[in-house]
Amino acid sequence: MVRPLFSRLFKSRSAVSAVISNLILIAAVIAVGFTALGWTYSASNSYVAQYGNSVRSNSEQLAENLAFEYVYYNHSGTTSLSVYILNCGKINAVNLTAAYVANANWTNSTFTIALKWLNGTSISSNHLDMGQEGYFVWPAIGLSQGNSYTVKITTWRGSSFEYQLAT
Amino acid sequence: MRNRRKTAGKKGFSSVVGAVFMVLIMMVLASSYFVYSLSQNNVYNNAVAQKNQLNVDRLSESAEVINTTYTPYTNGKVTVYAQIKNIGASSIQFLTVWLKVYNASWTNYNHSNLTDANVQGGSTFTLPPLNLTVSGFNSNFTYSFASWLITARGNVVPLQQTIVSANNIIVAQVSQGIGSISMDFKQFRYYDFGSGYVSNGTSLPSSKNSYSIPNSNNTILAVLLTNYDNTTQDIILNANSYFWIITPQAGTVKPAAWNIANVTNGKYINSFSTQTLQYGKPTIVYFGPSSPSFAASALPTVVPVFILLFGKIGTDDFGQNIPFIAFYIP
Repeated sequence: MVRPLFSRLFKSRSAVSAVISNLILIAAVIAVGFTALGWTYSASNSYVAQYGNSVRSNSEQLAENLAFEYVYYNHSGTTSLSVYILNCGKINAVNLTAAYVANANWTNSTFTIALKWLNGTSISSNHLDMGQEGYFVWPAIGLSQGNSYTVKITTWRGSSFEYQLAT
Repeated sequence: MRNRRKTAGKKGFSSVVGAVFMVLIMMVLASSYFVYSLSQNNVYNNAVAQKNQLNVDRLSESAEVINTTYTPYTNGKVTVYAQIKNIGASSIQFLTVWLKVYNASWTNYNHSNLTDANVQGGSTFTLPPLNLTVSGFNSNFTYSFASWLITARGNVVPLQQTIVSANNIIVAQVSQGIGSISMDFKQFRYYDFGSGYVSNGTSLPSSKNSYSIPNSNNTILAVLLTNYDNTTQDIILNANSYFWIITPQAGTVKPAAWNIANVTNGKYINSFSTQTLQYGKPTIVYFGPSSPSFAASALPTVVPVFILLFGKIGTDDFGQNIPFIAFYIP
C-alpha cells in the first residue's frame, strides 16, 4: 500500500516546479534577510563607533582647561608676544593647534606653536599634561601700544580659551 | 477542509520568514542602540558633572592677601614677601608666583615656582621671602611692582601693588654704612650637648630658640646671616671668625668664645676651612662648641655678644662686628 504511493509520488512530475520555486523563493528570502541583517549590523557597528568617538571627544574636550598665567607683549624690543599657560584641567596631552590675536579692527593667527617649559627649554612632546606650565612666543607680532586685544588659543580637541590683553 | 488548506499551503511562507528577519533586525538595532545610547549618555553626563565640579571648585577658591612687601636691590633683585589667608572652604595649592616691575617706559618680569605651598581653608600662608631677579633696574627711577600667585585650579591671586621710588632701593646702600652682613635675630638657635665632649661627627641635638644659654654645657650657636654687600660679591669667612661674649661680673672681665664651626648634614665636623656667604642668600653660620663657664659668683648675668666675622670679599679683606645681641646666663 505504501510502496505504490511513494512510487506514484516520485514518478509524478506535476508539482515539482512549484516545490522548486518555493525552495528558491525561501532561499532567496533567507539570503536577502541575512544580507540585510549583516549590513545593518555592520552599519550599526560603524554608527556606534562614530557615536562613541564623538562622545569621547566631547567628554575629553570638557575635561580640558587652560589658565593664562601671564601674557606679555614686548613692545620696546622684539615686538613678540609671550603667552604663559597652565593646564589646570583633568586631562593630559593638551596640545595647542592655533593662536589668534584680534581686536575690532585687526586679526592675526598662527598655527605654529612651539611650547616651552617655564625655564625656557623646549617641550619635546609639545603638549602639557595635568598641572604642567609652559609658554610659547609669537615673534614679531607687531601690536599697537595702548590698545586692547583678545588672545585666543585653541587645542586639537577643539577647546578654546581667551585672554584680554592691554598693550 | 479549510484548515488543511491553510497548513498545507506554501504561498505565505516566505513572507513569514521575511517578517521574522525584519523583526530580528529591528530588535537587534533598537536594543543595541538603546543600551549603547544610555551608556554613552552616562559617559557624557559624567564628563559634564566633572566639568561642573571643576568650575565649582575653581570658583570656591578664595584668598585674601594680608600683607605684601617688595624689597628691591640695586642689582635687579627683588625680594617678595606676602601673607595670604585662605578664606574659602577648600584648600588652595599655590604653584607659581609672578612679579612684574614696570614704569612708563620699561617693563620686565620674572616668576618662581613654589613647593609645598598648600593652604587649608582658614589657614594663612606666608610666602617665604623670594628673591626674584628682574634685570634692567635703574635706581634713578620710580617703579611699580605687581605680583600674583597662580593656583593649581588656575585662579590668579593678585598681591598688593606698590610703587617704590629710588629712595627705597637703599638696602644695599645701608649695608655699606653699618656692615654688609645682616643677622636675622629671630632665627638664632643653639644646640645643647650637655657637659660632655663634642667629638668629630657628632649629630646636632634638637635646636633651642632662646637667648638664654647654659653656663657649663657645651653649645653650638647658629645664626642666620645674609650678605647684602652692594657689590653683590660673595663674602668668604675664614677661621678667624668668633662668637664672643664678655662678663664684667665678679670683679673680673672674663671672656668666652665660640670659634666658627663646620656643621655638615647635621653633624659637627672638627675641621673648618671657609664658609661662603652668597649675595642675598640667607646662610646659617655655626659657632662652637664651647661654654661660658663663668664663675658661679658671676651668675646669673646678662652679657653682651659680639659676632666677629672676618674673611675676604673679592680680593679684599672683610671684617665686621655684629654687636646687637645679649645673652642671659642663669
